[in-house]
Amino acid sequence: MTESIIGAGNPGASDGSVITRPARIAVQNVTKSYGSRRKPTLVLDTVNLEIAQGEFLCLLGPSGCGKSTLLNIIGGFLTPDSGSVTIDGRKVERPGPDRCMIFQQPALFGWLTALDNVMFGPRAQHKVDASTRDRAMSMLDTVGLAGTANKYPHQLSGGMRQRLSIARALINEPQVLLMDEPFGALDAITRGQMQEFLLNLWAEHHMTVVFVTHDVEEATLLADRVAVMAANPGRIVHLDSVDVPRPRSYDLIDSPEYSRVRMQIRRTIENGGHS
Amino acid sequence: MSARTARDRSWLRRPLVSTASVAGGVVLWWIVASIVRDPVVLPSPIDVLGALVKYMSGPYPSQGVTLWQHAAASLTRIAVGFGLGSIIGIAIGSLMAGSKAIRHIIDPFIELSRPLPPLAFIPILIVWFGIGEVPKVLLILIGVVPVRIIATVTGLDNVEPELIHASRSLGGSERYTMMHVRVRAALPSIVTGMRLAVGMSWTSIVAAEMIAAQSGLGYVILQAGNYLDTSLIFAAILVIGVLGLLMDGILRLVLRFLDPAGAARRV
Ligand SMILES: Nc1ncnc2c1ncn2[C@@H]1O[C@H](COP(=O)(O)OP(=O)(O)OP(=O)(O)O)[C@@H](O)[C@H]1O
Ligand SMILES: [Mg+2]
Repeated sequence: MTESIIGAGNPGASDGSVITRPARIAVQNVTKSYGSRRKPTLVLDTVNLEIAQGEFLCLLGPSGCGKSTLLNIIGGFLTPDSGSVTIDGRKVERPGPDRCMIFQQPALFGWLTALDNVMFGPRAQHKVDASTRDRAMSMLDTVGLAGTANKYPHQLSGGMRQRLSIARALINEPQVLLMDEPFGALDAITRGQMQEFLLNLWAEHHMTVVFVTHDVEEATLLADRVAVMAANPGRIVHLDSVDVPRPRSYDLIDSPEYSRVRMQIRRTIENGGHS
Repeated sequence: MSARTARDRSWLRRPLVSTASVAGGVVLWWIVASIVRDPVVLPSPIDVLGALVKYMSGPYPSQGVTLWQHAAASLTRIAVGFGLGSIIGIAIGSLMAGSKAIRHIIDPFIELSRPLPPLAFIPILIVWFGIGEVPKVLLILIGVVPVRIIATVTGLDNVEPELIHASRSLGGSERYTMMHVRVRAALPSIVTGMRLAVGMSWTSIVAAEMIAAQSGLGYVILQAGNYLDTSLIFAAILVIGVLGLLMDGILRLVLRFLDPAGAARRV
């Protein structure tokens, strides 16, 4: 028990970086249990996390450790039992278009064409004007789907669907992108392409990204910082920054810095969270 | 790609095979009929066609009503019963999908009513409401409403939570999400429920018309049976079959329009 509190509250020992930018997302003492009131299961135990504006943070950990739960709390889909999440100082209480969620499965609207899927956000917010259609088209162009505006999701490949769901989120110009194993269902080649695509997108727009994965390589390739979680109860046990200059690519995956971070993360995970 | 070619081929093949099998059925019927050689037991396709043409224009039996008008009478009852039943079923189903309490209150009645044949209610309905139009429409409702409720509830229940989350996180309010995502995503299964209910309402109405009616296809069949006019029985059955197919065809078109992905899967 003390272990977990120390681990969650003070991961600083192995944290190589000093954050100088202002925190955009602040997770403070978040606790969450599932199950009945009489017999609750603690899923998140006093999680603290600060994510800077424009930072790319990867949330890494074994299956069932509470990554999705934490992301859903940040997204406003779940309310924590105690503690709070603030974004730019405002408390998160419900889902909102300022922080868009990308799921493992693309969750596209099957009865809408690609273009109409992208237009969903503006329509839902009753913010459609003369330029919306053009913006949606250029958003499709950004994700390399310009030719498929009138296709339905079931006519697209897995990677195209995931890109479409990203385009659908981006049209709202979210400042925060929450991604829950977005490329987990893709084959290795497509996943590599999607990672490059995401890095380019992020280099251009510099939104704040929280990216959940259980792939150590993916985490180190993408992230500014990696937060490692352990299970039972879910908590953050290790924070590490990945000091590899950008732009990055898979060619550098064997460079010393990548290897160092990966080793450290693996050791943490193997030790069951005692770094 | 491979799915595509398979689809193209079946598009070509399906009408061919189906037409051939129907033609084969008719030929078989013809052969058997010419062996039996008794139009009272089994009229040939030509006899049936003859009866159909005759009573389409000529009145049957004594009230001066043609087969078309009998069909129209049945159709009207179905339209009213099916329409009302759908509205009631969708409304109750939506309430049940929206509220656990309402679900638990209504669920046992549906479970109880499901194995009951609607026809068992005919005598009671006659005792209560006589032999006018009311008991007939009620009988259709008894068959249709539970089917519509179940289709609506499962449809709404089975909408992936991710879709609802996606809508909320794209800025859709709760109400917008309900109307544009949850209900919309459930529409195909609601329409599929309609397809089941169409068959149900034909079963009910024909049975009701056989017991207490002065018009309708069920009435025609019963009368024709009394006069051993087997050709006319078959003609009336044919009309029911064609009307049922037509209604189902329309619903399938609606379904294809509502659910492009499903339409591709189903060919
Ligand atoms: N709705 C729920 N009711 C009860 N328990 C739940 C619920 N959702 C998640 N849990 C439990 O909470 C724990 C954390 O779940 P969560 O989905 O956050 O894990 P995860 O880290 O995202 O795992 P994965 O990598 O497999 O996606 C798990 O032990 C799970 O069994
Ligand atoms: Mg998860």
